[in-house]
Parts: sequence; structure tokens; C-alpha cells
Amino acid sequence: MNTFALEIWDDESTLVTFYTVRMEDNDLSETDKFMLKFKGDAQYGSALQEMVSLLLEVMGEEQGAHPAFFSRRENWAVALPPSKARIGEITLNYPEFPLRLFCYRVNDELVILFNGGPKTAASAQGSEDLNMPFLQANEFARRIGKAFDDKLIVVDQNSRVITDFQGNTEIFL
Amino acid sequence: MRNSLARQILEETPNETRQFVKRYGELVARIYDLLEEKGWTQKDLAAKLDKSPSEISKWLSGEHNLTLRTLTRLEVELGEDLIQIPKTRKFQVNSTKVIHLEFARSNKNIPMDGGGYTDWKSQTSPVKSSVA
Repeated sequence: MNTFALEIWDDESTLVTFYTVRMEDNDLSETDKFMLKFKGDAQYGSALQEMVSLLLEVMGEEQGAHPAFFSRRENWAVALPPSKARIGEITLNYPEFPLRLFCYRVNDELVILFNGGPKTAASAQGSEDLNMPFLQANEFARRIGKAFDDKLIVVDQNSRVITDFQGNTEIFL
Repeated sequence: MRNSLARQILEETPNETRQFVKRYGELVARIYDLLEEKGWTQKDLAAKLDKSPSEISKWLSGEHNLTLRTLTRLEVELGEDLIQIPKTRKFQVNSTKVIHLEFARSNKNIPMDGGGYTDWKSQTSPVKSSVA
């Protein structure tokens, strides 16, 4: 995987700052790609609206990045030290909600969003449109987790910001 | 800085959708917190509800629509409200009350301060009086 930027996706909410990743040779972040893909879509547009409302209104203004909203994927922990396995997926837990958005939950106030897609099989790997985002999310999470472990990046709790070890907000991993 | 795509999507989202997601979020977080407070796993909850763990997993993971009956069962087991609905109906109280008293009166006039009842049991003609 090439170098990617770790950048703010949305920091206007009261309780949570959402980060995303953007591949070096891309103008769009992975999360914006996800949003654009399903915005206005006849099949998944409503589900996307619910997901965005969950992110910005429920998490962002009322509950924070509450663990209840993140389904942890134990099999992903294979790529990460168990103590740092914070990768999960955001979805709404009611029958047949189709979309999954992969993410890395740093804490109650910081979430890094990746890409995702519709779940059409029992597992992410088995879902045709989810398999690649799943593999990529694994790699993003592995490199972000390692950067935190090695203290190359740190969280400034006062400002809900991720910086490099020198305090710079521009981060490439 | 609000993400511009997210802003557009939110602006297009119907109020009903936003309200549903809000209630969903409140409920999910509440159930999670109560289970954690009590130190219960889903298996513990299943045992208390006399259900299989897989059925409880379906309840809590979205494979089963939570009905009002299911929610109230959860409330009873968790010992806490999951839903609180504000009361909006105002009960009107009449400004005057009519109380009917039945008491026995002695041959003497009944004083207004309530005295004079020591012999009431011996009286045979109860008197009804209305007090407004």
C-alpha cells in the first residue's frame, strides 16, 4: 500500500472528531468515496442517510463514540496486537441494514473512518463489494496502530486532534 | 469544519429518519451501558430471560426487530427503564369538592369546632351533612 494522509473528515460535532484516510495519489478521501458512491442511490441512499445521521448527530452530538455503535471484528485482530485491536465497523443493528463502514475507534472522542460497502453475504470477505474495503481497512488500521504504538502519532486530548510526535497536524503514514 | 458531502446528505435526510436514528442510538447505548453496569454478558442475560444465547444475540445485534413486548421484558430483567415517555395529559382538579359526612348528633347543637361527639354512639339518628 502506498503512503496515505491521515486527515480530519469532520470536526464540527460537539463530542467527536472524525478523521479519514486519503491515498497520496487521490483527491478524495476513502470516506468521501464511500459517501459519493451511495449518496442518492436508489437502493442504498436511505441507509447512507441513516449512517451519516448516526455519525454526526447521534455520536457527534449525543452519545460520543460509544462502544455500542462499533462492532468489533475479532478476526481482524490477527493483524494487530490484541491490546490495540480497535478496528470495527459502523452499522445500524436492525434487520437487513445493508451498509458497513469500517473504522478505527481511537477513543470516545476520536474515530478514523475508512471505506465500506454493502454487506451481501454472511461475512465481509464473502461480500463482493465489501471484500476490498475490508482488506484495505485492515492495512490502514495496522499502520495507524503501529504509528500509535511507536509514538509517531499521538492524541492531543485537549483539542481532539491527532498530531505527529512534533505536534504537526499534517500526517502521512 | 463540517464535511460538505455529509452536510448535503444530512440536509436531504427526512426528519423521520433522523428521529428514528436518534431513538435507535439512545436505546442501543442504554442497553449496552446497563449490561456493562451489571457485569452481564449476553449469555447471562439469556439465562435470566430463559432464552438461548443465540436468540439474545439476534435481539441485540439487529437480526430481530425489538417489539414493545421484548423491550419491556428487557426492562424487567435489567431493572431499569429503557423507554421513558413524557406524560402530556393534564389532569384537571375541580376547584370545589363535595364531601359527604355521616355522623351522629347529640341533642345539643354541634359546635363548629368539631366538639360534642363524645356521646355520638348512643345517638340513633344519624345526620347527613354536606360540606363544600
